[in-house]
Amino acid sequence: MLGETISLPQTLASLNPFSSAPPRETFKALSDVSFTVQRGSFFGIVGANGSGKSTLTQTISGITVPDAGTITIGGTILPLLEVGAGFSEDLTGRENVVLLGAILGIPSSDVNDSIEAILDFAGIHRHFDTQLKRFSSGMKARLSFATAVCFPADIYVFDEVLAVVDDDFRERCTTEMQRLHGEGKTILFMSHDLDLIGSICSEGMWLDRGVVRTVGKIADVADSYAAGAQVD
Amino acid sequence: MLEGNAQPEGKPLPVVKLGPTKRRLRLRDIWATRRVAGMIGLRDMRVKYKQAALGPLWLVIAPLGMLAALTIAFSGVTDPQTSGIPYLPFVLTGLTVWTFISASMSLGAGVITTNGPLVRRSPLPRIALLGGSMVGNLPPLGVLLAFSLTAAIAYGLLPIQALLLPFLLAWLMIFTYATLLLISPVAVKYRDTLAVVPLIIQAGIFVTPVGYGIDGAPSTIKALLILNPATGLIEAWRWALLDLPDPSIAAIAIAGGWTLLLLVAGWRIFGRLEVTFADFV
Repeated sequence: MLGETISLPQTLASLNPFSSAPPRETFKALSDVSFTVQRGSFFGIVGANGSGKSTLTQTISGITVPDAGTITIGGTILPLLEVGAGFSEDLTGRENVVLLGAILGIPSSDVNDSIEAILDFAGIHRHFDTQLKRFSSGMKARLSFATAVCFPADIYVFDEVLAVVDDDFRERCTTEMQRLHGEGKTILFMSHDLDLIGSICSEGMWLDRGVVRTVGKIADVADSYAAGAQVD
Repeated sequence: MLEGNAQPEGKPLPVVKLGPTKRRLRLRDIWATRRVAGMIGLRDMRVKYKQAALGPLWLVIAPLGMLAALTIAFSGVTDPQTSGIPYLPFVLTGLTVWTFISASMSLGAGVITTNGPLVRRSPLPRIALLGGSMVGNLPPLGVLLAFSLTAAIAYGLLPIQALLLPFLLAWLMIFTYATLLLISPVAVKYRDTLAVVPLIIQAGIFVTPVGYGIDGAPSTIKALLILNPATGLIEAWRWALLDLPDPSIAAIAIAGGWTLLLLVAGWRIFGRLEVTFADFV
């Protein structure tokens, strides 16, 4: 069975020299993906569920290693691959921010400098010293996003993180990402939402079942994605 | 990067190349990740005593409970063969070593799995999780060590070789770290490990001389007991803190051998498997 790698029947089968166990199924999440993101660009990656966007972000962020090929990254990278990634429910908002800073390897002085901005952006002053499990999911999402955009980095990677917040906060997030972009930061933004990608990114790529279909100006990517998605 | 693109702040950006690799771990990573390891340990400590009415008081209550149980079972029912050392300091020293090893193993074996969301979604250096699970067990170690030293002094046993205590602590740490290096990566792929660890811990207290001494054991039983690495550690600790007469040099040497073996094997296995954690956890 795909995904289930270890089990008692498999162990027994491997001990039996006469058994003819079927070969283990494998799955390639990404294949032959090759692209360049210019420094300072706002790069959108669009693709349906299961197209390999998250595997790509994991690989770029150094969380998992590719079987083949290389990734060259110029600058410090700050990934936000999931809303609330790196947070612990039992810690307070403040404790979580400090811990996440350490996890991302951000110097503690930079973390302390960022706290005021994080509070302002997330708008949770009153609850910053409350345990995260008492937060509403919206508050968690706001704190998570605020932490990611307020910590210093050269490259920001966002994977489907605006799907769970309300329109008002999404608005502020896109404004904030555009501000970072304006400061010369590189932004990689993954989504299956073509309209969102089309409205905020300048360049982009369409990833389809692990292969690159189009790379270039976001309008071209959007056109081919819209056309291709209809054909499929 | 754009060619000829003026860099906004004029500073060169660090360039990282990521590619297929079997190992990316370096020894200096352990030191480089000490801050985040410490914070993860602190997190585990906080979480442990949050929403607990007695909170950190459990740091004192738990070892007292074990102390009472061991005293009743070994000193009360059997003849614990303490080589003439009063039972209280004798059992406390054993308990100090054993509690740290067993608590670190029970927290550390599954540390990659229990931190699954972190491993899958953040670039946290995985090696920091091991240090973290040891940091989280330092307070109980400190409490038991304080008990042991107090008892050793109160009974007038503390010898001059007690000055070697920093080395013994370092050895205990390195041994425990080496064990975690070996078992935690294996537990990611083979959850069987998580079933074995409680067995080792529960059965271990009987085949480790925590509540008794090995001196009076029949020679075949003694030979078996000294194969246990914790035996050598405890013998060394009892010699240093309580002036245990005639500690088993064989047990201490075997424990040293185990430490080296686990360290070499653990380092290789952790380095080999850590790149696959995000895929398997």
